[in-house]
Amino acid sequence: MSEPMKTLLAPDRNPSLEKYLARGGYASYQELFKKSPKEVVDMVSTSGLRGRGGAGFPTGRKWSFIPEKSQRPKYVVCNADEGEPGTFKDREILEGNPHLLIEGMVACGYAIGSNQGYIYIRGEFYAGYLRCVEAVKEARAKGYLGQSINGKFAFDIIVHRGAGAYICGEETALLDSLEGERGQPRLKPPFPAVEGLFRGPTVVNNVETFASVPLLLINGLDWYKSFGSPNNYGPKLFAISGNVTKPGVYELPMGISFKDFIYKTAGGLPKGRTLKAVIPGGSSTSLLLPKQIDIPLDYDSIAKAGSSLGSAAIIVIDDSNCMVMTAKILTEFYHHESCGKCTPCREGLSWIEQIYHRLESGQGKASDIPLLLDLCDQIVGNTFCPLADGAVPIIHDTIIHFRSEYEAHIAGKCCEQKH
Amino acid sequence: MADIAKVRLTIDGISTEAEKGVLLVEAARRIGIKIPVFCSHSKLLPLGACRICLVEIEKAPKLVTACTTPVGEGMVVFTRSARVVKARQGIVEFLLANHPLDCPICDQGGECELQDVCFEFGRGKSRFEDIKRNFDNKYGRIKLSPVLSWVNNRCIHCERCTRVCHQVVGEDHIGMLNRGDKAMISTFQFTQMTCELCGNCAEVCPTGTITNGTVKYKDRVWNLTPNPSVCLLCSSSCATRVWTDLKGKVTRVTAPKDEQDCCDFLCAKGRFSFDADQGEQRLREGTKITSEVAETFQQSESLQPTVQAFKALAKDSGSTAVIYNSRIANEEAYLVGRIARTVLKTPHVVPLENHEGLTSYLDRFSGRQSTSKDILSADLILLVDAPLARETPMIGYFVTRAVRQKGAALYTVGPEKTRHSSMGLAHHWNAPGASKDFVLSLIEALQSRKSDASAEFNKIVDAVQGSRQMVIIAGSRPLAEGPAFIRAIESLSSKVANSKVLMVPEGGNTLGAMLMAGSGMRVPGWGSNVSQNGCSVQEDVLGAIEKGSIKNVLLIGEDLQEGLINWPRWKTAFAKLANLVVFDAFRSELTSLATLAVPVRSFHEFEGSVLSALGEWKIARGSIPGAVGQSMSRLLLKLESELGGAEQSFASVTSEVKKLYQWHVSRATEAVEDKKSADSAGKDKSTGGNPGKDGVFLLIGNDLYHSGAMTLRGAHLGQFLNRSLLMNSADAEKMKISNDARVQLKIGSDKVSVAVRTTDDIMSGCCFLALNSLSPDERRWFGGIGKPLTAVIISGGAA
Ligand SMILES: Cc1cc2nc3c(=O)[nH]c(=O)nc-3n(C[C@H](O)[C@H](O)[C@H](O)COP(=O)(O)O)c2cc1C
Ligand code: SF4
Ligand code: SF4
Ligand code: SF4
Ligand code: SF4
Ligand code: FES
Repeated sequence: MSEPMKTLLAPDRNPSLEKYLARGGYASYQELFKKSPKEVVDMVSTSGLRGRGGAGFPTGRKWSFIPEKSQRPKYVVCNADEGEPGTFKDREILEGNPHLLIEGMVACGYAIGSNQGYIYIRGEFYAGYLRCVEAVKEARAKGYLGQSINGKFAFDIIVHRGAGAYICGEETALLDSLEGERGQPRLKPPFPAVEGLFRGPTVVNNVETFASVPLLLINGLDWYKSFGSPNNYGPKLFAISGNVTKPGVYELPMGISFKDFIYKTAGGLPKGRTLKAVIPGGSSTSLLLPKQIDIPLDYDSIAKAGSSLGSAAIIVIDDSNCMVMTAKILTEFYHHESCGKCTPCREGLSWIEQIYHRLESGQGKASDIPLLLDLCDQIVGNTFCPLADGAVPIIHDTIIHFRSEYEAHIAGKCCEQKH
Repeated sequence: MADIAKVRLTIDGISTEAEKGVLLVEAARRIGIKIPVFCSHSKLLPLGACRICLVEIEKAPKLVTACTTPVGEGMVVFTRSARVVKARQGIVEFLLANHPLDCPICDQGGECELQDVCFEFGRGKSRFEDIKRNFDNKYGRIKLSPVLSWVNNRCIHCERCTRVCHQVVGEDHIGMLNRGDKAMISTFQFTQMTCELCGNCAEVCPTGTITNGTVKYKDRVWNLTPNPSVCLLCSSSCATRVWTDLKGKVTRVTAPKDEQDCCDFLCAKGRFSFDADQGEQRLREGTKITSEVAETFQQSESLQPTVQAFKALAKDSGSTAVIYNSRIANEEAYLVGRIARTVLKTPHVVPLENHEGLTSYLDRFSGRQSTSKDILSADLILLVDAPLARETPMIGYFVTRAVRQKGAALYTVGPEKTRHSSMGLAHHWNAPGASKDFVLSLIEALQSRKSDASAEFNKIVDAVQGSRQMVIIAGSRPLAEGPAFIRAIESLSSKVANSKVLMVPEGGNTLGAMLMAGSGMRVPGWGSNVSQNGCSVQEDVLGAIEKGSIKNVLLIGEDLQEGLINWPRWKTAFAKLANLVVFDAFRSELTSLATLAVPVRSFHEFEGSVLSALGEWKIARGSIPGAVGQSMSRLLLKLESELGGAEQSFASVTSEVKKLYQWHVSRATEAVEDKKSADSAGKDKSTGGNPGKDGVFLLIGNDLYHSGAMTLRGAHLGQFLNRSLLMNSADAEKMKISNDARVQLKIGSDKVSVAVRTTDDIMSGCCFLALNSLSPDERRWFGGIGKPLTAVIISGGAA
């Protein structure tokens, strides 16, 4: 066998088991089954691995919440519902490296004492779905999944397709959807670790989070911690899109320069354009202005700058964009995706969308600007789940930083005049 | 009970204490602080969706919903801070943004929680100037049910209705469709809604989205007066509010709103059948037939015809029989029993309902039966041939809540799978009439497992052995099996620690009427010197009339003809009587045969107390202004004194009735000490037959929504009639009878033609027919509910 496997992405993007084994796949099982379940949880804790789904919650801690003894079965659930605008990193793993995900889920199952995993995959990811199904089949046939993995452990995975709702990426809505209920967030507590899928203790992690675990097991803590800085360790996937010349998914160590990433790695802006703003962590995170991006690309530095690394989906906005229309497009998304459970999100976002449509068609009023800000204030922090909190930053930030564009719209000047 | 730990907290500066787990809304309510709510409801699990109840907690970064947050030690809560006020105003503004505000034509106006909260907590004006959402069925174009009205535009998405449907009604008929601002309450099952507890979605809906369709646009609530009453249509005996309009006419029936477990809900029968006593069939004036003429009289005007009739009955006392049914109050029953024995001086006191098992049940379990609290705290519920949703829906309601809200394990046993079987963990098929056998085998299996038992049976044995708190509920069919069944179930209960028993007769005040009036074989507590050798079942009376030893009959109750089994024979027998006096609220062939027919108040209008199957004592005030005639108790009291008895007030009867009940309770408790009787639970096995082998067992019951023929008298529920013979699919296939085929059903020498609906929910060898789906002529040869009949099915029956 060649070099031990070191990357989340498969260089050849070939999902087959044969190629995966050639890349050093399933080698983590040796390390895994040498350890006790508790040692695995401890290792993940020590590595500082933080959840890659958006909230950055320490993964080892999450696993440690699962009670050792439980009357009901425990479950491992992979959140592959990747649906936030700008986010498309998990797709690379699902389509190009699905066995790495399986390997990581087995490690989690072993660590928490669960024998059943689910991959809840976004309905639109049909190719990814087929590849995951195929990978599970292959793994089962070769004993990497099934009744007796390494003669020691039983674990199987069911791949389940979502039906196209962003809210089903929220972990408790995902669990409801997986159970066949309407996909709406659940009341917490109880948290999934106590009462999750089918009321059993459940770990829900992002695709990339699970995929990180085999690399950690194979290459060890020191290797893992050689990337990034304390509290922000590990290799990481970054999806960059918008006005850059080389958009795509990049696997980089945490903590590289944000500016370099945009201007060097991603090829910089189209010729003649200047940077207007950056959304650093998926559409739900606050805007950063050009002057704010001279920082390392990690959870803590971006939080310090007033935003969040979220799902590490960077959207670059140059001066060809009208910020009012940018906010409008994202508002349409959140309005369309609101599950309808709670009042501020259900009623507030449809109202705000109507205001943007008026602004777009030249029917805006001066009072709309303070109204938008006040409606945001009536929403933020008052909703049942964070979806609506995620809809607010783009509205709020574009008004605060680009108020003149709103005023121009209200004065009847179409944004296209700016191009 | 162990003391529940308490915590101290401060709400709006007031220091208070509450048990751990109490939610902030409730803790605030107790000290008089009102936190507005929409989605929160005391009988539903918390949801936290509407966000109107946001409050501020010191040191918490975000506002929290008071309806989902439990009290915590040292918590400092603000319900009126500037942040809270602003957030609430925001929620109100959002809720009204898309709301049509068509209050002037909205039936909810005047009792609309949305209106109330917006007035109290809103900003008073809206900044919304855009286009309001408009759902398709703006004015109820989607007809989900003929008795409900839907106007989706008024919905605030609090999901009380859908949670009621799931957690309380036990159906899942309605749900939320679509998402975001397009989310609407609708159904996936575009069939008529047929929930036994139908109407509770309307009851809990805080807005005018779902309202009672039978009263749509008929009145305004501020013109209505609620009168506390009790529903007499089944032994759940629900407390009701009977609403009357300015003219005193009954316009709707609702549940009382209360924190108590019993309140907030009613079943469809109780809610929608209020028009049943308003039609042509109501007996409104008295009729007296003498040898020369028939004259009518207003009961309220003149007592004389009745007094004369009673004098005639009293003169010939040894040959007078008094028959009553269970749709009367305790006071009425008590007076019937007393007048029969002390004024008419007859030992022949006869309840119409089958009561052999009932008497024995009352002797052993009065006051010790399972209560609603027992059901709600049970970890195991065993339903033995108890089609609760059909017979006693609101007892079924407690079971549904125990299962769906509290996670109780549920098992069902019997010849039918019921609504509750679908929520249960397993169903064990058991032949009709053989519930006692099941109980005895269960007792045996608790000691030593039987190798030939079914998997379902074994699951039940395991569950019983593992239970911490079990409730066994049996329906009217096991009750009809008689005292042997009661002894068996008592024996089972004595062998399982912490277990409770509940038997549910079907009819209204069955328990109370039986305790208060007794029978020819059983005189209530006060009558130790009265003969106990009278007729006690209707067959005996019928025989005695035919033989000529009974010459006078007094029938008291409601809808009495329906309870007389084999009406043609009764009719012939009645012709021989010297006096036939009938007190009824409805006209029938019976009242037209009567020498004296006296109109009395109906099941809405009556006055007095009722003893529910769950042992609760409920009071109907009888305060309906438009009631027909006077209260029957008061009438009976007057009669008693006219006929030489002492004058007595209604209030003193009320207290005597209570005492009598207490006396029975104390006796039942004594009986238990005598454990020997419990174990003598008839070793004589097999009371039931062998379904299929001895002919087809015909189970008779009431169809959905219907309490005998009673509810058919009204237009609202009359539309839900379903006349078909439910047949086991495999049996039907063997007999080559297809679904929807017409067959003839032969019972003795009578035949009836019915359509077949095949189902897997009924045991092989059995079929089910709704009694109330038959015409009065067809009904007459059915032996009442309880005892299974054998029938022959002939396929290819004439249409
Ligand atoms: C509206 C909403 C959408 C979300 N969508 C996703 C998603 O698509 N994928 C994901 O991994 N996490 C998503 N999350 C976060 C999950 O709720 C959860 O925190 C995450 O799956 C935990 O995994 P991690 O600890 O590995 O990050 C979403 C959260 C919200 C509120
Ligand atoms: S904020 Fe409320 S309406 Fe919006 S998605 Fe979350 S729960 Fe649903
Ligand atoms: S639901 Fe209430 S607020 Fe809405 S129209 Fe009806 S009465 Fe008015
Ligand atoms: S129909 Fe009524 S109860 Fe149901 S969600 Fe709407 S407002 Fe609430
Ligand atoms: S019929 Fe029974 S369950 Fe229904 S409302 Fe009347 S008493 Fe209650
Ligand atoms: S009442 Fe608390 S959120 Fe609705």
